[in-house]
Amino acid sequence: MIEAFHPKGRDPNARAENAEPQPILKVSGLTAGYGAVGSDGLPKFVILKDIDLELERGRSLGVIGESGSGKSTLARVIAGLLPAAKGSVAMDGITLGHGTRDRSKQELRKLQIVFQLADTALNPNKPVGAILSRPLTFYHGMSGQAREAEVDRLLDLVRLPKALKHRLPGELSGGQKQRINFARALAARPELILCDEITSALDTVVAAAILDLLDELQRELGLTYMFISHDLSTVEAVCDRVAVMYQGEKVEEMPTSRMQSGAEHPYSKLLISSVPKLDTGWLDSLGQDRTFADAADRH
Amino acid sequence: MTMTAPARKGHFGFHVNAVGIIGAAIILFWMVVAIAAPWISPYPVGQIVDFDYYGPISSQFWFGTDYLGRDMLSRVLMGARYTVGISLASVTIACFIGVTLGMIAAVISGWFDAILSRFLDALNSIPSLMFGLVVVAAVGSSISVLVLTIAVLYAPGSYRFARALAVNVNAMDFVTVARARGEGTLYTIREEIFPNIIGPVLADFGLRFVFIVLLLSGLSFLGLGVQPPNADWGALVRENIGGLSFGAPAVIVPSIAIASLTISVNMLIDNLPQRIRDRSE
Repeated sequence: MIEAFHPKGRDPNARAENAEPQPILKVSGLTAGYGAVGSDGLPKFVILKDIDLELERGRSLGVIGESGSGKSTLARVIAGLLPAAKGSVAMDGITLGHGTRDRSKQELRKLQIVFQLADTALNPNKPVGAILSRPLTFYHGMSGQAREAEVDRLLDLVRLPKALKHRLPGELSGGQKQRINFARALAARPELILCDEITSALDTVVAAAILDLLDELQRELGLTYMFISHDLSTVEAVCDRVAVMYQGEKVEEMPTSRMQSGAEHPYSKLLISSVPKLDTGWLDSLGQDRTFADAADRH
Repeated sequence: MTMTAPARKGHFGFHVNAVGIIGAAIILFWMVVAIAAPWISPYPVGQIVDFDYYGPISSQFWFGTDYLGRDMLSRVLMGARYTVGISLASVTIACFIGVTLGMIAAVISGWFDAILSRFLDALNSIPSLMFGLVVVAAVGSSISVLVLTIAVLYAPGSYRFARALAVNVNAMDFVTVARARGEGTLYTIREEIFPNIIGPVLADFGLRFVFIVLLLSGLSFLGLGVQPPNADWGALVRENIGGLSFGAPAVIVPSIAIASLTISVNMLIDNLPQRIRDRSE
């Protein structure tokens, strides 16, 4: 349990042998928001202001920040669900269209998004098998036996039994649903997966298992993750670099290893220091406290 | 992982409960009656066969006679053709148009939704009997005109209902996922939205059917619906309402017929056969 609460940090040199990683995603000058577009070309409520990001292939970038800082909006803009007002998103050096309709099927396939709540992200009226089959048919034109076999392989990949494919999402546990949610993204055979708070709705033990799975799959399949979270310990566990968002702006970016010590921006410092710490030795330390020990002796 | 014993399979892999079977049987019965009416009704519909009006049930006239002394059994049997046929046809057309447009509007949204919604709201504001009057005055009364008129009248309500449901489903993450995947509008509507609104839509179908049976009788009463000497069940109740104080079967029998049909439609819809999912692995 305690291990799950505080996943161990990541070795920044673990993948140093992959010299010169290529940027898979390059976001430059991205500005976006909601509401009617005004005469200046900006929406009424600007949520993201001039965001620049670069993400190397096979690495993970954590995006942290408080609620309302624009983390999820960033994911939606990158996925093409919300057209950007300004700026560009490029994948492998090719600039992507602003909306999903402006992107080719291959571009859409390479970039998948996984949502926070698996309860609403899976169609409650479709069996798991059908949910996983659709991206296979849509992106790869698979059918019949080959598709069935691929569904089995995907379930195996996310460590779920094959028999689960006949169940409806309502008949699964929260962790199982999130694994299916992730398997659906994997079905597209993506290169970059945007994970929008995927462990936030899970308890710490299940979340830790999901994080382990993500880590394993990254190594097996060479995936790149953009990991959006408000939970700093999960970001620490899976990410190589962290970007800190505050009021729609990226205030700082640093390697995860420097997160505890190297934050420079005052907001990042505040955010990182406000993580509650699990101090397992607090009861023992009470005995060493002079005033407390004296009080105990008197009784 | 242990699997529970597979559910007992009915024929074709469907599971139906008793209430649903009873509902389906009554509907089927009335459909057969509607088709076979000309051959099984003992007297012609318009023929006055008895000098006594509001006659009681007898071996000669099983359901008594009406206010003119016509045989009620024959009239109810022939009336089934109009009530079952017209109501089912128009409710099907109305719901098909309304639900389809409602889902399209919810998914496309924007100005398309705004214009369509306002247009159908305007259509909804026209009183149904007035609209029927105008249409019948303009093109004359026939079964197909009646079916289409009623369908047009009931489609906006069905549209509103389906759109409200579809807008809710459309906001769910799985629809967003489908959109991010690059799915088209047709797939989103058919596979992601429709299966999630089908339950309430069918309940609405049943209710709307009942309303149409009543509207049809109203139109018939004004002379716009089924033309005399033929009559649908609603019209039979209306024309024999004077016999209520005598306890005449002429008013009770068509009422029972309407009740049995509308209740069984709702019984069937609330207990639709459920497909048994194959979990044998």
